[in-house]
Amino acid sequence: MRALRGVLALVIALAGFALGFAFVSLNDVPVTLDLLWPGWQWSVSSGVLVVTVLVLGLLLGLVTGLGLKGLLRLGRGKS
Amino acid sequence: MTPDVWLWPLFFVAIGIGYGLGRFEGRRRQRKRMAGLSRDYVRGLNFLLNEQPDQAVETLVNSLEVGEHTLETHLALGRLFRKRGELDRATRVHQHLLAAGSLPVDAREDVELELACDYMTGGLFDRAEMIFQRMVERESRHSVTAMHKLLSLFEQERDWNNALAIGEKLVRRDEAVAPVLAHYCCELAAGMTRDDERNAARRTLRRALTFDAQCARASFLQGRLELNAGNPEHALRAFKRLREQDAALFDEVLDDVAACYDALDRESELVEFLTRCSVEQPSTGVILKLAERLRARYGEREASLFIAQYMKAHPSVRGLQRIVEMNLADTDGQTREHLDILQRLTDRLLSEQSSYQCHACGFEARSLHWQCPGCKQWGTVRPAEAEVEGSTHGPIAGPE
Repeated sequence: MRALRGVLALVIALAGFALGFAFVSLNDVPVTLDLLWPGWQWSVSSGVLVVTVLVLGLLLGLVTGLGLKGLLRLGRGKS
Repeated sequence: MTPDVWLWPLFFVAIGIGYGLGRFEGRRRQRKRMAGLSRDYVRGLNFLLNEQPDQAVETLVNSLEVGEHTLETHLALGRLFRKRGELDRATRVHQHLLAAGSLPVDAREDVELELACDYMTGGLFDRAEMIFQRMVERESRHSVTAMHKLLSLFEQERDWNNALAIGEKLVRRDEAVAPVLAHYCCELAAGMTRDDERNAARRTLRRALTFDAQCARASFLQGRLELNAGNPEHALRAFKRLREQDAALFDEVLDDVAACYDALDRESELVEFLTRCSVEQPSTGVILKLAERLRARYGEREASLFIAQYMKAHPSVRGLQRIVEMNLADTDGQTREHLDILQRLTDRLLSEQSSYQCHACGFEARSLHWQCPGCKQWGTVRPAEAEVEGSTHGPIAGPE
């Protein structure tokens, strides 16, 4: 049962990766973002931008949701 | 659509999803941890119910991860074992905590204190002393408690010199121990007197009075020391000081006071002094001593009348016994027989009565203890009669 769950998690991760890859490949329209600092700009494809924003948001959400102790425990893999 | 429009909502949605996932994972882990804890707890409980306390301790201790949150539980468990007299288990719990090594300094000190208490209760004084001394040297936040414990430890070992050394450090932080230190000095002085080291005993008794100017025991010992050394004048001064410090104990030295006056050949001054005492703070002891002197001067009848006068206001078995005793010689026939019965009765009453009582724990004793054998407090045992009659004391007419 535990092995099955592991395989499922791996499949989901691969599917997510494939989706992200497809999304980035399909959305290759270049976008130029003005950064906060005057004169600084970031040229990036729209697909990469979406994926980056999603990943940053998810990480930030995880940090607030789990808390610092939770994150450390996650690293140790011990309950 | 420009990235500015859809980028922010997307970012917040991602944060929301991440937060939700994080909370979910946190709760899942908490549930898992609690399930593990309760499983171990039930196992420990089973061991306890099956009267396998060793395995129960092992399971309960191991089920709780050593940390700041579980420290109190561990300490409570250890204290419980110590109170039940299961010292090996209490020690094991505390040693397990120290071995974990991940505790902050404050928590570590708490555990060390508990461990030292285990050793002390178990009679392993050398180990307990070592831990307490280390805490005092480190000036840990428990150093005052450690000093109190050391004081009690040295007291049990009757090591008065070390007790005084620690006490002198402690008295700067806790002035309440000063009277106890005075008693330690008195213990030392009593030993010196036994060893015939009079000058050292005198110095130690003076030291006792610097700790506690109201230490009646120091005056008591000083008086006896000087009387035995052939200095009745100095002895008398010490006994008079004792009366000012604690009038209830003055009855204890009445014979010595009389011996001082006799040695100085000032009997009339003794009568005068006892009369003054009987007016200012009458007690059965003083009245009987005075009656004894009156008897020698004016005869049995005068003395008996004097006691009877006092007895009207302050009835006591000792007074009654003396009146009966004095009247017994002058009577015969049936009256004598009745007085004889009365005397036997008062003798029995006196032999059954405890003469001293601790006002802290109520312990009753036949002799004066400077430290109560019941509650181990110093200077709390008092003459029982004085406790009863203290409130009714009032001036009575002196002898004519």
